[in-house]
Amino acid sequence: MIKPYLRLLSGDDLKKIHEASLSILENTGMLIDHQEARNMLQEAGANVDHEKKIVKFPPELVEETLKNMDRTILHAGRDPEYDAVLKIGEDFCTRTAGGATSYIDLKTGDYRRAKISDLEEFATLVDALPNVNAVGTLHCGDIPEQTADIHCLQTLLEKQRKNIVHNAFTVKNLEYMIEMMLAVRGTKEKLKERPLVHTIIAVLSPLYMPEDDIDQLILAGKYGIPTGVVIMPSVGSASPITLAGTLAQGNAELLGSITLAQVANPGHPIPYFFEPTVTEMKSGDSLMGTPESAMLCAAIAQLGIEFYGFPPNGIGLMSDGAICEQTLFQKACNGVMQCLGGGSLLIAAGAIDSVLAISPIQLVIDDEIIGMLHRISRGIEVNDDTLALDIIDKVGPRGSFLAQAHTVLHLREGDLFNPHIFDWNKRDKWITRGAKGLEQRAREKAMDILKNHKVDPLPDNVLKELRAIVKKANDTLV
Amino acid sequence: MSDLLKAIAENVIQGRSDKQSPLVKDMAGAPGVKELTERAIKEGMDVEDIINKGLLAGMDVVGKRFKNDEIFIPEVLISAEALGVGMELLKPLIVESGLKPTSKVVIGTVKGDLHDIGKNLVSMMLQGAQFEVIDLGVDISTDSFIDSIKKEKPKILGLSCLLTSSMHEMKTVIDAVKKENLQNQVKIMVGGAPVTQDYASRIGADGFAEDAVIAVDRVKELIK
Repeated sequence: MIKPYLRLLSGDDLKKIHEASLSILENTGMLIDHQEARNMLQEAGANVDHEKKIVKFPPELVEETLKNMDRTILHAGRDPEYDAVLKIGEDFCTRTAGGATSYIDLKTGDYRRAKISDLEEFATLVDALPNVNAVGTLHCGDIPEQTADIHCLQTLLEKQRKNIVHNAFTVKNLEYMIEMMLAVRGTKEKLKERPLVHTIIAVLSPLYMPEDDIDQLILAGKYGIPTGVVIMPSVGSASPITLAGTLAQGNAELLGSITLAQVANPGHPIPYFFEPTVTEMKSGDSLMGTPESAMLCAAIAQLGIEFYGFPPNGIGLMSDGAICEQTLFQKACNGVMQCLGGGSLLIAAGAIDSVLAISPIQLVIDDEIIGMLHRISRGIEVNDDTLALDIIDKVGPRGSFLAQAHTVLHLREGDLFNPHIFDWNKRDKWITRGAKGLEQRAREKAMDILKNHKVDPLPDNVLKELRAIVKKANDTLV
Repeated sequence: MSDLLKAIAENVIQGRSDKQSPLVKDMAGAPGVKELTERAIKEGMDVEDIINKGLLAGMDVVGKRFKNDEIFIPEVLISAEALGVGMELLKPLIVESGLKPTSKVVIGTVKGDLHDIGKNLVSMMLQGAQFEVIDLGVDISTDSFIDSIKKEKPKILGLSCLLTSSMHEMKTVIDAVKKENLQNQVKIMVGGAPVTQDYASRIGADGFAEDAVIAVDRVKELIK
């Protein structure tokens, strides 16, 4: 990880944002639409108005809760070789976005409603691409609507081996999904030790936690399944137009959620994550690849890493629109800012069009961008070996460093990023080699992976059990 | 094949000129190309075998790996250097055994231009491919190129240039070669950042290469 990381905010700024968040939680409070949750928070010392369903959090309760939180988040894969560990001081990890409803057809380039076969294709790519460490959901249209989440989870459990970050439509659906996780892991203890799925719940900004989301939070906590809280205050509509105000509110919503989770199930892992969007003031749409988004990525990373000591997540690979050259720039801006800010998890590989669509081609390109970000993240090491005085002296004026052992050794250590999709050849050579555009090269790589990459299947009894659970869910919920 | 020849090939592949090479941690202190070639000579092995089944066999693997994008220019050069160390030791024996000498290339940066990074790279790559390279240096006048062709009788003349303001010098040299009736004796290759295939054709060059790696292939094609 880069040291020192980019400090967009001063230490005093961070403190002010934290205090503002505490003040929001203490004075405005959150609407907690869940009787049992309110009771638990009341018992823990919160001021509760049951009639208005408003919970006001005393600062001491929040501060005390934060002290006891685990500082490491494990995104466990099927096997340990696919684990992604979020920890301050370690290099960052990356996951794909969740919740898109459309898919860009790999062969035709058509933008269309996603199908379960698309998710299978996407899962194979995720499994193969080295810089993608965890996978999110894709909402498919050719399966029962009420259990699409369960079908999606089944596909991701079967077709790839990395950690899955998955929402459930309702707490009922989540029960089936936990059954599926247990089917793969074997026991509750093993699942808790190596949670191969993280669940997702939502806070609706401003300051509202719906009942079913709280049910899901508490249920996941019982099994020690890490839960990401999706907090998306849209700058100018669901939070103040000022970025400081948005940071204070989003942070308050996260701290409130963390406090509830810890009161309900102490030790429940909750990543440090909120993801403000920016309101498009001509349509009301939510944007994720604006310069404000990029600054928020860095600021949230800084709050997590510097003020709270949590490995921070961020939307480093979000973009708006579906034009390749535009999404690339947005992803680069967000990604560099989050990466330099010290972020631990970059989210949204493969996503375009404000996460409405997933593109397999974009995923392959993103894998390359992430590789470049990893190189930037390693920073510039300064020591006797890297200053290379003896080599400079040996080579001397007009000499060449190319054939020096020092050069070869550092080249092998990955000192120079080597692209696979980007073509840095000069125009003449690019033309002799077929004059292929970036998208074409990425498409070819994706096709190659799909043709050659094999994912080990789960054991037969597990596959059978998963199918039985999905059938049971369909029989009950559809 | 003998283990010794295999070891020579492997050390060429790894670019380990001698036992001091820091390149492969697992092989630290083990004999490199220098020590192994010395041993092969001492054991009285056939010179042609040492070259073909040892040194060049290793370089062959390096070339293939490079073409497959598995390794990079510095690794090729350092292997070529290791190969050169072995060749140097064998030189006296080559003369004795009457083996055919390698093809010669005269190369230089044209008049008015002092840039030589690319030209040096081409030189090094050609040497790695077993060409004898006479590198005239930078800011070379047409007369010097002509003199050198007459004296060295190379198969290839390589002209390099970075500055657009000196590009016309390449044409001057080519015209002079024709005027001296040397065009059947030597093929002329041009290269450098601003040079394109189109420009090369227009000034009457026999060959052009986009980079140092392609240059080696083109030279081989031209002397066929």
